Amino acid sequence: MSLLNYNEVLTAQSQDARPIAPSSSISIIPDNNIIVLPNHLLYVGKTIRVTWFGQIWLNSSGGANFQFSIDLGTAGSTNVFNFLSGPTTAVTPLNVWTPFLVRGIFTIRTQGTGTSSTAWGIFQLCGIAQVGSSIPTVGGVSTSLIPAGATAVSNGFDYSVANWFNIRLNFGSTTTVYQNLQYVLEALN
Amino acid sequence: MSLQTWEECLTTSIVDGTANTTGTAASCIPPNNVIALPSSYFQIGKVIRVTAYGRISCVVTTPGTARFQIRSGPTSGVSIFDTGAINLNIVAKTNVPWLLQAILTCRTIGNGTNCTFMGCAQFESEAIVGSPAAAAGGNSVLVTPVGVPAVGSGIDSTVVNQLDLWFTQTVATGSMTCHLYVVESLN
Repeated sequence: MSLLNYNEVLTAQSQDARPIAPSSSISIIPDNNIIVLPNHLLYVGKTIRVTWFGQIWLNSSGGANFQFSIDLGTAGSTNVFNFLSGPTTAVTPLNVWTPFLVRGIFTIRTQGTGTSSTAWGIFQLCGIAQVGSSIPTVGGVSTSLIPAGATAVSNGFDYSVANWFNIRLNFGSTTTVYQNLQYVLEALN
Repeated sequence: MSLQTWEECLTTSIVDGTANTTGTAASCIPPNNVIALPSSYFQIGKVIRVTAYGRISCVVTTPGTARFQIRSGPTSGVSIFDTGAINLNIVAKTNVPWLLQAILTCRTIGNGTNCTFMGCAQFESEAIVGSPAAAAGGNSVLVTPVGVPAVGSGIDSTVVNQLDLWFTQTVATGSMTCHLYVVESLN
């Protein structure tokens, strides 16, 4: 019983990424981990699991909204999954690093040129930096699902060309800092 | 150090399952993703991971409950893992996402109903009772089965068995659609 394929790790981060405090979208992973997927790799049914983990630093009592995105395309310039706001909280311990974990999975639904390739995906964010979260000594940390609202297919991309695979982040505040520590990209088939 | 096995993806859905709005139990995945596993496929220690994601709606005040079952047997008639009834949010929700991640390990094998699995699943959604809105504090998470963990109903591992995901929402005022369904064999 098999499709005669196997799981494989496409890339894994082995060093800390640089700390970033972006007010515009910027890559969170080390440059060496921005891999180039060959053309036609993302065919219908291809399933990808992505996991990244890092630390976040709030030094503003106002907190900040942050927004991850998964980008494909030449130079990773095509925004495919644009995470809706993942608001940090004003009551999270300030001026200290706190861990943050994102796990996601998506399956290619359509394949084609231009923007006719699409995927369905779900992402789970977990960390005490999220609004409303307890701290570990009081209760579990908050998790949230992305998309946060109504579910929808991803933005379109071109599967017929080589696609960079990149993770970007945009903060609503430049006083917040994020540093990615772990990043694993797996092809499940 | 290895068992000389490998992980593999047994099936992944590329279309939505049929929306369940009836308040009755039914398969929620596309029919093409109901896979048939060969006889004697299950061995003691075999581990299966099921990941599913979709959208769910529930009405205010009397949302009923949601329940997932991983079913097997020659006609998917046996619930080998049951989340139990998950109380839904008494605040109306429309098409909010849900995520189900389950792991099953084969505990016993044999004919009749001797093949059993111990399972655990994590269900996350804004549609769980008590969950705040996404913008106010994330989504609630339940570790299921709701109640006391136990092995599911048994199947006959010596015959061909289907693997299916069923869903029940106890009221016909809700709706659920599965967008993504992935089954992995971990060994």
